[in-house]
Amino acid sequence: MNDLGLSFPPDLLAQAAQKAADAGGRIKIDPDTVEQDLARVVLGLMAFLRQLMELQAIRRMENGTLTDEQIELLGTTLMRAEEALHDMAERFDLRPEDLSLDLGPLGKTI
Amino acid sequence: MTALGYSTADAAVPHGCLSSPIGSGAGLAVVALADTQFNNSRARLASQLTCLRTLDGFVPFSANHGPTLAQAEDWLNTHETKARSVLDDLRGHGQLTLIAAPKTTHGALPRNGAAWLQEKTRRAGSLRKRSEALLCCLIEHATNLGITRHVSQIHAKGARLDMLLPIAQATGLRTDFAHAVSSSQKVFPDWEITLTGPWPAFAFWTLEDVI
Repeated sequence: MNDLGLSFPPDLLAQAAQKAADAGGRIKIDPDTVEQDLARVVLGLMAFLRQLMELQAIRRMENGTLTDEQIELLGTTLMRAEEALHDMAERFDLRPEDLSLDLGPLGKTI
Repeated sequence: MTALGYSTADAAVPHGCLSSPIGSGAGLAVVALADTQFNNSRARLASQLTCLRTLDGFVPFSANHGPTLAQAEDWLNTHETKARSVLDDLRGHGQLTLIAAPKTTHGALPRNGAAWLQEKTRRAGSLRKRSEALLCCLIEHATNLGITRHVSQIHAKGARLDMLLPIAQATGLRTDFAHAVSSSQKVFPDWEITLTGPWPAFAFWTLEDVI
């Protein structure tokens, strides 16, 4: 488990290799939906980073190392960041759950 | 290539699931699995089980993760004692892996920043406690089946339990444990519990400075 409280399966390396092998080691891109596909990847990564920050904020909350002002500021920022991501996703006809990128044996990003 | 494994040099010979040993050092060998031999994950699992049964020890590593064959050989040459110790410890064993995640979704969050973060924190704490309770129950089932070595993790989305078991008894123990999981799901109906394996004992390969 890392500092952010995230953990990864210990067998992920071998399974990831298998996943890559199953996929032939190539990324599939559909020319008809390339904008949406790219938006999904970019927004998915942003959503993942936002979630990492959220986990860190929760950890600091649990440790009692945040002041009331910091709690308000962090909570508002993270909440609005989540809303902004969902708004942007909607513009590309993506649902919030579409921002969860499937990393194979690692699981989903969010 | 999908994985690298460490095995005793004597055992690392081609026998259907392995290519020829690609390097050796101090009585241990680095062996390779060629992905061209496997066309789906079921075939790969069957191959790994064959390796487990055939070799004294087999701990796969991803070639994608970085170690070149030369690096693997160098590593093996300088870590023989540790590698042998781990192989001896895991000889004849595999692992079952259980992944548990809550099915239920929460209601709407508060619209105030501080209240939003406080509610998120409360939910994270609640999930951790529920995960601990579930793991406690599952570990008790495992212990009752004679599975005494396990590694558990609680993370942001639920829990994971890896259990070490003799590979010769893997099929029977998996069936028994699956029954135990079914009974646990009656007690914890809001959890999605997935049991997989047997796999090579990835979670119990404890060398700290693995490649």
